[in-house]
Amino acid sequence: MLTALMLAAAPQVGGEHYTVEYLTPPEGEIVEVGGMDFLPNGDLLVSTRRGRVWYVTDPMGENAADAKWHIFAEGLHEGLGLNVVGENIYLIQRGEVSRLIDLDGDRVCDRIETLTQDWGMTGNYHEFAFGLPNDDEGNLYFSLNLGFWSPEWWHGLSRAAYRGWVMKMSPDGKVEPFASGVRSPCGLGMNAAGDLFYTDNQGDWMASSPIYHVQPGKWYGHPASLRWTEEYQKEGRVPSSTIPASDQERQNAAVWLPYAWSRSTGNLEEANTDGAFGPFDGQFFVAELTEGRVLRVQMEQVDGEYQGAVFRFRDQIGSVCRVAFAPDGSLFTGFTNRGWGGRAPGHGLARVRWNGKQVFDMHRVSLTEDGFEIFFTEEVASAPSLADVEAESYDYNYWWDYGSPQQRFASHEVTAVALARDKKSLRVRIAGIEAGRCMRLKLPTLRTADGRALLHDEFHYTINRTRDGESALVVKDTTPPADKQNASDGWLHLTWGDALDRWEGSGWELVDAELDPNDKSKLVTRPGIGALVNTGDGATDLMSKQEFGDCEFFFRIMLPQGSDSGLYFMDRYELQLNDKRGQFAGVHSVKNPRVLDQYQGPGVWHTVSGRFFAPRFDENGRKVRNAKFEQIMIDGVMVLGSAEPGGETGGGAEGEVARAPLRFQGWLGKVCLGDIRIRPLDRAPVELSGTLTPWMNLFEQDSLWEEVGSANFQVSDQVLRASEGSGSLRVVGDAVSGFEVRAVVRVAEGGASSLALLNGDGGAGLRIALNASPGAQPKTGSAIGVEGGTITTDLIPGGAGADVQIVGVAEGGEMRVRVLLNGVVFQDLRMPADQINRGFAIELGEGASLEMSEARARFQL
Amino acid sequence: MLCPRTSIRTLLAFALISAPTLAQESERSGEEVYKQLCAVCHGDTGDGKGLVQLDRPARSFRDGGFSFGNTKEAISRTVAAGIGGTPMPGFATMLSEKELEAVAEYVIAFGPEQPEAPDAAMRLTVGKRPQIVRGHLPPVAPGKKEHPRGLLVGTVDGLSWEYAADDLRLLAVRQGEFVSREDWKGRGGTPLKPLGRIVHLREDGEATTEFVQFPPEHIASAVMRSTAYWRALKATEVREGRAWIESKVMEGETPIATVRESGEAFSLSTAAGYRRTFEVERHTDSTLHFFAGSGPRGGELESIPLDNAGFLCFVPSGEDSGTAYFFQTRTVVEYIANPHGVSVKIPTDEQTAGFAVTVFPLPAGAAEAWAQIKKEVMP
Repeated sequence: MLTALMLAAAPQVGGEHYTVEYLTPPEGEIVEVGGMDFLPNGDLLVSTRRGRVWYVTDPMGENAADAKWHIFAEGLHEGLGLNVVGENIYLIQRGEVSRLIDLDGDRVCDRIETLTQDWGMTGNYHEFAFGLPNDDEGNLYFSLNLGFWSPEWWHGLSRAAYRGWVMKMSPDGKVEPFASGVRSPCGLGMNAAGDLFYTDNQGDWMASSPIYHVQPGKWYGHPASLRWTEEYQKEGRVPSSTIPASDQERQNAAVWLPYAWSRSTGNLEEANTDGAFGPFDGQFFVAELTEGRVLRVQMEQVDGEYQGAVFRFRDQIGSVCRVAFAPDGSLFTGFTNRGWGGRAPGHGLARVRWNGKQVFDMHRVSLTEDGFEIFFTEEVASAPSLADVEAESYDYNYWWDYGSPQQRFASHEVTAVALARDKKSLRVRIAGIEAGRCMRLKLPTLRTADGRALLHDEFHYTINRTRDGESALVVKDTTPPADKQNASDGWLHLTWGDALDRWEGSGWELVDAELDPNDKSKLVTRPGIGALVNTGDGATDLMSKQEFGDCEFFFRIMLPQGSDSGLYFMDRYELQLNDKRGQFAGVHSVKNPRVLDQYQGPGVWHTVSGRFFAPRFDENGRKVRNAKFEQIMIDGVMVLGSAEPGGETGGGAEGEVARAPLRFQGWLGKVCLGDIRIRPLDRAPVELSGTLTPWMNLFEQDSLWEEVGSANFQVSDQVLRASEGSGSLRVVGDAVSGFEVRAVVRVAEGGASSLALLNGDGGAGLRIALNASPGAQPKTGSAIGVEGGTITTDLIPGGAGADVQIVGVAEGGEMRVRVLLNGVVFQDLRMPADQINRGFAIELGEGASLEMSEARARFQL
Repeated sequence: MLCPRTSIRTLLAFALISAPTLAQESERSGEEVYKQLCAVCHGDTGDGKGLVQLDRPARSFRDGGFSFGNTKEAISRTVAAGIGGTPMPGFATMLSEKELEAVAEYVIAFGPEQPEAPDAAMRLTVGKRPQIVRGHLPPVAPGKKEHPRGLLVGTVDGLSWEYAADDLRLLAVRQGEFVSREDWKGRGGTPLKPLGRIVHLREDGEATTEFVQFPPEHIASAVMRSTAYWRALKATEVREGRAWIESKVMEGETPIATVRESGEAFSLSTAAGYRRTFEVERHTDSTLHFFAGSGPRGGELESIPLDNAGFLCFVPSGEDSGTAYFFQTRTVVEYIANPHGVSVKIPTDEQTAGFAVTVFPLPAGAAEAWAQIKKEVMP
C-alpha cells in the first residue's frame, strides 16, 4: 500500500496552476523565516530565527527577485511569530512578546517594547515560543514549546512555568494560560470566525501532526504541561512521563495530518482572497517543512465541533515553516530547517501565485450520514464505478513513545455513488462509517469531460463525530509499550559534543551544509553543527582514534551529485557510500541483491545502520570465518540481509586482523556525515592474568565503603544512587599487583563526577571522568589531567548506561592502566604502581547525580 | 624636553609640523600615521611616554586600556573626534577613513593579544549605532548562573553591558569585540558568546537589583536587598546614537517608578571607568534608593561632597574593594556613603530625578589611583 501511495503521489506537484517564485535575499544572507506579515503599505516584514526582522520593499512586484531587502531590527532572541495589527508590529521572541517601533520613519526599528516576559525558561534548547495571531479584542496568542530532555532527545518536559501551553496576552500586557497539553506547537492561526487553531509536531503523546481547535481550559494530550494547572500545583503533583493522565479530558484534533504528508508542521492561514488564490477561499493552507510543501485543510462543523479533510496542495517549494497571504491574494512561504531537517531550499522566501488556470480538484467534502458528499471545482464527466473509489480507515495509539503508526486499518465497501445533476458534486455511500477514525478516500479515475484528471485525487478526513451524534477519540488509549531501556544504552556517540575529537584526518569541519541550488555536485556550507564535511581541498580520510571489532553501527549521511565515499570497517571492509541507486550502502566487491532501494539521490539526508562482524581467527592466526555485514538499512528499511567480503576491499589496509579503526573515505568526493554511533558487540581482550581473586560485588555490603563529604549515597539491591551535594565513597586496602573494576554507570546531565584510583594516603593517583553535562569538560572516559587523556566528545550522553571497565596490569615496575567504555579501549597509560594500587573512590561533584549497578572488581595478588 | 605645561594648541602645532606632507600624498600606513601624529605623546612603543609630558599623561596602549574602547571602530572614532576635556585632539580632517582604520589597527597591536575571534559570519559588531541584543547569556563567571533571558548592550565606545533581563540587573561591563551569535548554529537555543573581556564584574557576578527600598545600613545583607524591589524590562531604544534601557521598579506587581538608563565609557586621564546615566520618574511615593555598591564593611570609607552637585567616594576594602564612585546630578538627590554601602536617595517629594554614576574599578594600587582621581575631579 505504501508503494502505491508514493507512486500515485509523485506527479501531483500542483505546479501547473500554482507557480513558485523565489525572492532573493541580499548576497550572503541566510533568512531563516519564523514569522511574516504585511504592513499597511504592502511591504513585508520577515522575522527570523537569527533574531532579525527584514523589511522587504515591494514584495508583490511582477518579478519576485526585484524586491528590496534591508534589516529593520536585529539582536532579537529568535522571532517565530510576527503580526502587524493596524500600525503596530508585534513579535514573539524566545523570552518576550514585543512591540517594534520605528520612531523616525526611516524604516528601521528604534524602540523595542517588552510587553511581557511572563513565562518560564530553563535555557533548554527546545523552549521555542511561537505566535502570534490576534482576536478582535486585541488579545494576542502564543504557544510555548516543551523543553526536550534526556533520556531521549524528544522527551518533552515542562520544567518552567507554562511550557506546553497556549497563552493569551491582553492589550494591557497581562498574560493568562489559555489551554494546555501542547508539545511542539510550531504554528497558530485564526479563521475568519475568530476561532483559534494550532498545529503540533509528532512525538511523545502526539501520534502524528494534528491541527487542534484551541479553546480556553482545554487539554490537548501531552501530560507535561499539567504540572502548571491549579489542581497539580495545589497537590504538588508532577505528571508522569509514561503514564497517561487518565483523569483529564483529552480533546480530539480537528484534523490529523497523515505522517506521509506532514512530518514537521508549521503555521496555518485561512485564504480570504476574493478568489485571487483560486477557488479555495475559507480554507486553511498549512506549512510543512520536512516534505517541503503546502497542504490544504478544509473544515466543517459537526454538532458544533470542527473536523475536516486534508488535501495535498503544492509540493517542491522548500522547507516551508510559515505561510502568509499577501494583500494581493498570493501566498508567501517562508523557509527554515536548521537543525530540524527538511527539503531544500532550507531558508529564504517564495511567493506562490495562482496563474488563473482552472483547477480541477476536489473543492470540499462534507461528511454525510453514510459517507461523504464531495464537491468539485468543475463538472465531472461521469460518476466513477464503485470499484474506482478507494476507501480505507485507520486510527492511532495514545502513548508516551515517539509518534504512532496508523493503527487498525480497515477497508470499507463503497456501496453507492451518485453524481449530482449539476455534475459538480458526488455522493459516496460507504459501509461502516464510524466516529474516532480517519478516512482515506481516493478517486483515481475521475475525469472532466475533456479528460483531465483531478489535480489531487485523495483526501484524509478525521471523523471525530458522525452525523448521527456518535463521537470518539481518534487517538486511542492503549497499553503503552514496555518501558524500554534508554536508547543510548551500550552505544558510543562518536560525534556528539566535540564532533572531531575522536577522529583523525585533515580537511574536515563541522558546519551546516546543503546542496548548491545552482550545481548539485557542490555543497554550500555555513557555520553550524549540522554535519561533518570534508570541506578542505586536500581533505584526507577520517579515521577513528579507537579500534572496533564486532559492532552495530548508525550514521547520517548526505552526498552531493556524483560523489563517492565509503565507510571502511576495520580500515578494510568497505560499505559503499556513493551517489548511485543500487550501490549506496552496498558492500564493495560483493553481490548486493536488493529488494528495495531507499536511496533518494543527492542532497537528501539518509540514515544508514546495520551490523558488522570482524573476521575470526584460530589460535594459529588462521582465519576461520570471513568478515560479515548484516541487516544494512537505509532510513530504517532493510536493503541488504547479509554480505561477506572474502578479504579486505580495494583501498583498504592490508592483511586481516581482529580489531582496527573505522575510516570514512574523504578524498574522492564531498560527503556530509552526522551522528556516527557504534554499539560494540564484543569487548577488546584486556584481561588480568596470574592468580586472581574471584569477582567481588562492590555494593553487597555497605561496611566496605567510607563516606566523605555531603553527597547523598544510597545503595539498594546492589545499585548505588548518588546525588545532592559533593562527596565521595571510598575504599582503601592493601597494595595489589593488578586489578579490574567494572560497572554499568549512568550519569545525569548537570555536574561532573569521577572514578578515582587511590594511593596509600587515600589520595587520587588517577581520575577517570564521569561527566555528561553539556558545556562541561572533560567528558566520560577522560583521564583527568593526563596529557592526551581528555575526551571532549559526549560518547555517553546523560542518562545512558555505559559499561565502564578499568584494568590495571603490572608491567615493568609500572602499572599499565586501560579504560574501556562499552568494551572499547579509550585510555591506555602507564603510572607508578603505588599511585593507584590501594583502592578506589566514586567522587560526586556539585550538581551531579549518578547510578552505578553491576559494580564488581577482582584483583591480582 | 618640552615643559610639562604644554598647551593643547602647541601640541597640535607640533603634530602638524612633524607631519609636513599631510593629505597631499597617497595613503600612509598605520605605522607612518602613528609615528607622525601619535608617538609624540603616546611614545614610539605605545607606552604613553612620548616626548611631550602632559599634565594629564597620555594613555598607554600596552595594557589594551579601555577608556574609549579598543575595537577598531571605537579607536577610529576616538582618533577622528578626539577626547573632549583632554589634550587628545581630533584628527578627522587630517586622515582618510583608511588611514584612521590603519592607525587604529596599529594601536590595537600594542595591546595584549585579543582572544581568538570566532567565526566572522556570526559576529555582531558595533559600528556607528549601538547594538542591543536579547538572548541566552552563559554564566558571566565560572560557577555562576546562566541567564536564559539576557540583554547585552554594545555602545559605540566599545563597551558591552551585560544584564540579566528577567529582573533587570547589570551583571558586568565588558570591553572589546561585541558578541558572537552562537545561536545561529545548531537546532536553536544555543547561548550567545559575549566577546569583550570583563572590566567590571559587579558583586562577583551575582549582582542584585540596584533600586531598593532601604538605605545602605538596612541592606547590608544581600537577602534584604533581593527581597525588596525588582526591575522589569520595559523597552530598549536607540536614540541619537545612544542606547537606552527603560524599566519599571516593581514592588511585587506594582510599578513604583520608571527608570531610563544609558551607559558610556568615561575616562579621566588616570583612571578609566564607565558612567551610567539615570532618569527616574516616580509613580508612587514609596521610598526609593539607587544602591551603587557595598561599603568597606566596618572599615573607613572616604567620601567627598563636591561643589558642583557631585559626590566622590572610594571603597578601600570589602566586597567592592578598590572601587571609586563619582556621582553627578541634575536634580536634587541625597547621597549616602557609609561603611554599609554607597547609594543615592531619590527624593519622595519630586516626581523626577536625574543623576549619573561613574564607576572606576581600580586596578592594584588603587589608593594611588584614587589620589589621582581626587586631584583631577576636585576643583
